[in-house]
Amino acid sequence: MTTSPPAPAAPGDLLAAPGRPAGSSATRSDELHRKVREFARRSLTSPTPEDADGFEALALEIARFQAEHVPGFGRLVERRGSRLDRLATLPAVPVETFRMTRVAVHPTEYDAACFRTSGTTGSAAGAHPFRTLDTYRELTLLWGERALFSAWEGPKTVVALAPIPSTPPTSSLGFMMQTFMETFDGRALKQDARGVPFDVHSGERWIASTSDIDVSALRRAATIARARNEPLFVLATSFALVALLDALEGDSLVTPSRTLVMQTGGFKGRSREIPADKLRAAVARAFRIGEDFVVGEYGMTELTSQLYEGTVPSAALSGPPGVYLEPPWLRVEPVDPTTLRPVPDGEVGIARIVDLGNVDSAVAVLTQDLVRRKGPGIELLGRRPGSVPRGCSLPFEGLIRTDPTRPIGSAAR
Amino acid sequence: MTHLATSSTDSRLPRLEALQRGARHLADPSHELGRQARELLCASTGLSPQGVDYALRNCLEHRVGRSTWSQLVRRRAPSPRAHVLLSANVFTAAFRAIGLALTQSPHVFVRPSRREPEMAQLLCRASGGAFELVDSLSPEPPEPFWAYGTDETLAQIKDTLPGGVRFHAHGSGMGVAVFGPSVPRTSQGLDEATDRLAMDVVAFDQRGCLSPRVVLVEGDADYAGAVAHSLARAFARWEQRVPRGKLTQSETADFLWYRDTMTYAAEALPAGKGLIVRDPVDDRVVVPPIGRVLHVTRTDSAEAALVRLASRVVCVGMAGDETLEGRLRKAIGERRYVPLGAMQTPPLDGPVDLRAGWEAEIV
Repeated sequence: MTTSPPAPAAPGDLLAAPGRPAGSSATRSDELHRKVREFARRSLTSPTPEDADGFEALALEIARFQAEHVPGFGRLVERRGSRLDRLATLPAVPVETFRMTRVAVHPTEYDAACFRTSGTTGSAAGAHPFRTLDTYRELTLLWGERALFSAWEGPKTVVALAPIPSTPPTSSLGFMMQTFMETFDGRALKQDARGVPFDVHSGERWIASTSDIDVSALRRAATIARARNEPLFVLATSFALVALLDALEGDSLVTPSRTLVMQTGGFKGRSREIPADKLRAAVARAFRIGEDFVVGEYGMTELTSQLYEGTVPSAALSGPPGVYLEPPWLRVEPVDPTTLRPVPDGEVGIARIVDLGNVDSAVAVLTQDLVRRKGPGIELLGRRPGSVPRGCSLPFEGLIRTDPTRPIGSAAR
Repeated sequence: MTHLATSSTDSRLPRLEALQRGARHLADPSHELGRQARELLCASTGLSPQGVDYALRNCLEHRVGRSTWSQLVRRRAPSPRAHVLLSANVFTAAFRAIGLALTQSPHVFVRPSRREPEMAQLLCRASGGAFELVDSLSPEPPEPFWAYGTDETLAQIKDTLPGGVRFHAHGSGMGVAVFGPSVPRTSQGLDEATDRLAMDVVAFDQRGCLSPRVVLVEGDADYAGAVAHSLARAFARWEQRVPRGKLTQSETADFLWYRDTMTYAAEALPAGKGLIVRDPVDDRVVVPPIGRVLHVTRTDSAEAALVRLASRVVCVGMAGDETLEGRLRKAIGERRYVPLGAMQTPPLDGPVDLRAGWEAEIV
């Protein structure tokens, strides 16, 4: 797979050019970050009916900040004829843009981190720069705690079916997993961790390489959790879970009775594909847990926040399987891809996502993921297929890196 | 007709002449069949009335002479029967496909596209039944089978054919326009070249396998910018003469996705109902959606950029000196190399894409 960072910003994107002081925009950005974090905390601890208005006002304030400092977004606002005075008319930035140019208010030298998409075969990788990870960390923890870690009180053992993340982090998913390990576990993965320093990058809790699952390491983690009488949290991608099932060859794991598996993402051509309900059932069997304890997560590199299913009976979030719940600081709206306007309730559209956490990039992003509003959340229904050529022309492909190649796929993490 | 009948041992040439006569009727807006064609094809293709008229007048090979057909007939060994499977290609492609089959056999069976059956039916009526329309085809070895469609469909069809059938497959593709460094930078010189390229885009609203999608400009950034702006003006002028037709829902969705992405990431110039994108990143190659859209990229070497697109490219339109074609041909091999403005009107010398050549693949 060929991947590379996106191309430099277009000429004229002065704030993205080295040498320009970030002074006033940095101050304003800091203030917006603070507001977003306050909004998030308040919306969970003491929600009020005014929160809806507060969400819209804050989203528009961030959008105006971005339009003022990012010429590309300014052009998009102008082309769409938006006055940035209503959430409904806030233009969403297609996620493809993150592959084509730098999407950031601040110059490169102010990056605290830059998360990269893994890219699909033949396509270019995208990047999401962050001036600070404080907001990312706090929002991730607030909603992750509700969806996953509130299931059981007390200390927890947290491992990931993923490779050790790099330093500085380049994978948003890796950073999220690392944040969960640091916050909800924070001890060496030993039966008696006293006196042993905690190292989040220790290989014993990152139980996968790019090609293999270390089943014995997973069994060892399960044994330690059982000996500690703690719940076990396993964070995994779908393709890693498929690899685990293949490695187990029908066998199952001896896990603590309190075990939860967080499953995220698609298969990205890295494993055979299994329908979601069958994968959930197979994972539950392999871990000897109820299917309610296999929890889907939806996130992408281009976002700061995540959505979760609310199936765990004892956790703070509640919702049916297959329905992903938004945190109060993020909204998903299904829109008609031919008009970019909201579809009627219950109809399928592509996901337009307003994420207040994206203070320094794009507060509203447009994806090719098909979604439908259902009850308290949204259903994920795959990706919008590209157009079928009416003549003998080739379909829209987007960025070509090698020949032959395939259409650009969904944003990976 | 007498001389035709005696010049050949079969009736291929008379049938070709009948087909040719039918094409002339369809191209003629004052002929009853021409009027009907314009009405029916507007509905089935989504093109504007002017777009249908433009294609019938300029892209349907209604001016081909008898000598051209005679030459083609002489090049082909006759076959008792020939078979044609049409896809929802650009509508005028049906004429070329059926004509080529008639150069091989007087008995041609045609299965029209289910999505766009009108042109085949019109040609059948206009030619007085020079070929037969059928619901299904049953070629037998060693009969020729001409098939049009996506590469995936063609591969599936090939798997179903009896061994020994001569399979002529013609898949999808695209055109690329190249501006060499020697194009006059005067506004007049550039505007003439971009006007010709706009003409290639306007035909079929870019739905053809010869339609240009990508523009490679060899030269400095100012030159690439000048090409882009000149193209936007040319598109706007052509919009007045030949308005863009309707896009399908998925084409519209692709168009909006690309427009908004490029508005943020590049210089996206409104161009009639279409769009010209001037990419700020050198050598970046993007295949845009259809609907009168061109992605303009500056490069130091059109050959290198073209190589990355090679498997897709059917036709290369050129503006530049006499060395340009040689350089491009050396890079990607046999394709249609034509001046700008001629990308949609290849000579009637065989399949438009030439990738498979004249020779059939024996299944």
